[in-house]
Amino acid sequence: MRVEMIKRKNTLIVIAVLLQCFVLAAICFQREMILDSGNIVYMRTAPVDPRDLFRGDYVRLNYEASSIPKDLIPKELLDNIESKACVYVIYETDDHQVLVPKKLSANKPPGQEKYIRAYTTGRMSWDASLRYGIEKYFMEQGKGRTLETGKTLKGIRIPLEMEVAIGKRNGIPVLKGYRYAEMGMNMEIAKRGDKKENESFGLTLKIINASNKPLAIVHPEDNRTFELELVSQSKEKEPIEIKGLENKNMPFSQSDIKIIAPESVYDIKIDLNGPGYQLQKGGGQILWKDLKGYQTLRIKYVSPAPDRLEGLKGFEYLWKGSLYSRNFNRYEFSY
Amino acid sequence: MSELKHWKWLKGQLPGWIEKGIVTAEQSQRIMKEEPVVQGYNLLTRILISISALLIGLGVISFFAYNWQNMTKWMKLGTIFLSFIIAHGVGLWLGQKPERKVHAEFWHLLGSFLFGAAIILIAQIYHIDEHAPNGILLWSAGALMMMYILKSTPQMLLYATLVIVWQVMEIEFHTSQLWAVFYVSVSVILFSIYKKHWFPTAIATISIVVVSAIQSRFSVVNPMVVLLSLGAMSVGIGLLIRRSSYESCAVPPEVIGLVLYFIMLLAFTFPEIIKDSLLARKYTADAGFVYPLLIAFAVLTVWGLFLLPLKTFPERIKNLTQKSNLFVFAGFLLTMVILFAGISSASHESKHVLKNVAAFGFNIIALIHGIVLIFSGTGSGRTGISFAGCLIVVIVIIARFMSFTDNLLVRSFCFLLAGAFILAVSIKTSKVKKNAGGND
Repeated sequence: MRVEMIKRKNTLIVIAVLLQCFVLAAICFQREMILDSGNIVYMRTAPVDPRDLFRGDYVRLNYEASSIPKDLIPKELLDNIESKACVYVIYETDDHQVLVPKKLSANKPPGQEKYIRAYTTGRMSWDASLRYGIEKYFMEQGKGRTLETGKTLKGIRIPLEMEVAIGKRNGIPVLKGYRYAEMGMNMEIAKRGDKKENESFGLTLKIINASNKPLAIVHPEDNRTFELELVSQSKEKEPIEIKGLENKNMPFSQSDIKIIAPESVYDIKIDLNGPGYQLQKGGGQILWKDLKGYQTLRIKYVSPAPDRLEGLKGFEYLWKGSLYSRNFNRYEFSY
Repeated sequence: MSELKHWKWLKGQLPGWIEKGIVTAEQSQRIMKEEPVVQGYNLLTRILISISALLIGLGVISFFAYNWQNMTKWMKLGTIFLSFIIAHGVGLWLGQKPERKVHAEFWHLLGSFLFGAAIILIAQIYHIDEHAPNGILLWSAGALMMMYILKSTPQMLLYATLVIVWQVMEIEFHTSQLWAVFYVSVSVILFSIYKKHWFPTAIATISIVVVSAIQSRFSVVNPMVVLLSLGAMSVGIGLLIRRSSYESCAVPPEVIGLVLYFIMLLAFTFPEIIKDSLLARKYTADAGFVYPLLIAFAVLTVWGLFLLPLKTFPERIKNLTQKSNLFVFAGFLLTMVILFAGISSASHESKHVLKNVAAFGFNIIALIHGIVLIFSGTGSGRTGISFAGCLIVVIVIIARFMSFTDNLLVRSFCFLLAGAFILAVSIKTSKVKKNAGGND
């Protein structure tokens, strides 16, 4: 009787141990399958407050794709989606395999579209703030500091791009590695001081070529490739809009191609009261001082489509990708 | 002598009995096989084993958390899987020998810690940063399985701790998980009934109260009311256990319940606390009907336990005047709490009046309860009861004087009065105790 009891107990222990092993192995197997056969993309980490970057033996990551602009969110999703809901970001990749979000969807997209699974972090108002579950990159203790400091050339931070494998059937992302971008962009904001509201003021962008070959960007005199973009504002009746240039699609000339030598810096001055950067509300122009603290903006550079530059000298050096400045708000101008 | 000692004694005696011809060698072997050894409950040994397994487990977790870059992920996974299997394997092997059951328990507990280490390591290897509390929940499920298969109290301690840690981690995510209350309650209550020992009962009571308190944030009923109900119910359950043949198991729910009840009783004597809790309408209805049911059940328990054993109304009144019956006061308190919460939800205008009226009622209950306890304690010479009564009365008096006046003379009079009152009670109690022949 007792021997039978012990035998039964032993069998149960073996089953329990095997079951626990099976659960652990299943988690590993799912991730290994994704690493082995998933779509490989690079997700660029956005410049973040250094205080949040590193804790313990992992680096905290904040992706550019963690914030999805309103334009990419269907209206029904914007109105109804709850916090911590599972969503799918339909994406494409640029020439450097960097993930570019195209649309947000509440359901798994059917067909051939590529998608990545994410969770909303709060109710959506202006943009969607997302978590992908890959916001920590674990490293050996003491080694994380190198990644935290990042690669900096001539005082300009080079964006870190995380290599991510994405499950083809479920969109689950798994971190695989990392690399640094070929281009980096820094932003210096000039204090307004006693300047009048309509006087020109603004910021300087510093673009560095962090690669070991010459790279070209497109920079016309009117700065039309460097757009101002509203990152966040709450659900307001009359949201702030940016009055872009009317002649945005005019052809580029030879002088617009700027070739940057390796490890060289190219400066761009932007007048935030100049054409293309003016703020509007309800159809009328408003001043920068009228912005609220929670309304944040950034400068975006997207390299123009190659067909618009064909025939121009230096075209072969063209860097095809996008760069974003850090987010800023009105308080940085010392109002 | 514990039952393991009995077993060892029997094993030592058998060779002599064979020599004397009392039993044959074959019969002796059959006795040893058929006589199941029941582990004696050596609590200290178990606690030491738990601490040792915890420290070794933490050592293993920290070792892997270093995240050696020179170690491939397959080496890391292989090491942790192998350690996990070896720990349980050794436990299984030692478990065959009844006298090594305690050692077997250590290895199985270490195995459960290694299961947690494996979860953490896998999350680290694959850089998983999804919902972190889910990892702890998975770990607790492993401990739950081992707790039932091994019928092990240290595994229960690990399980209950993990459930509490999981719920504490969930706080920042603000998600209602009412099923957590059922998950912990069902498993620990059944295990405590099986064990019939005060230690598992204490773990069960603490884990249920903590998880219910955390989840009551999502209740339609105010969390303070839920805590009060839990306290009253715990005491009720303690009293029911006391009537069974396992009296020692009654102490943990009684003590925890009394502490909760008295804290809530005193909290409700403050008008501002009433305003911010009972009369505040910040309820979210995620947990729906469960917590109102809990309160209804608590009311039925306290009034039922008070009223059922007595036949006539005069008997019940006599019971109230003759001894401190906690349930009368708990019943009054719960009824008043529900009444005021009800009035508050119907009318939102008269909060200021309502909070003072409610506070007045709760003060009266607290004072009467304290005085009855003092009389009961001095009458029977039980210092503990007198002390509890004094504590309630003094806290209520001092708190009210503090809120009514800033006058130092009045305050000094209040302190003198309270001091003299305690002195009188202690003298009276010790006299009664001496007369009854007890030591002071």
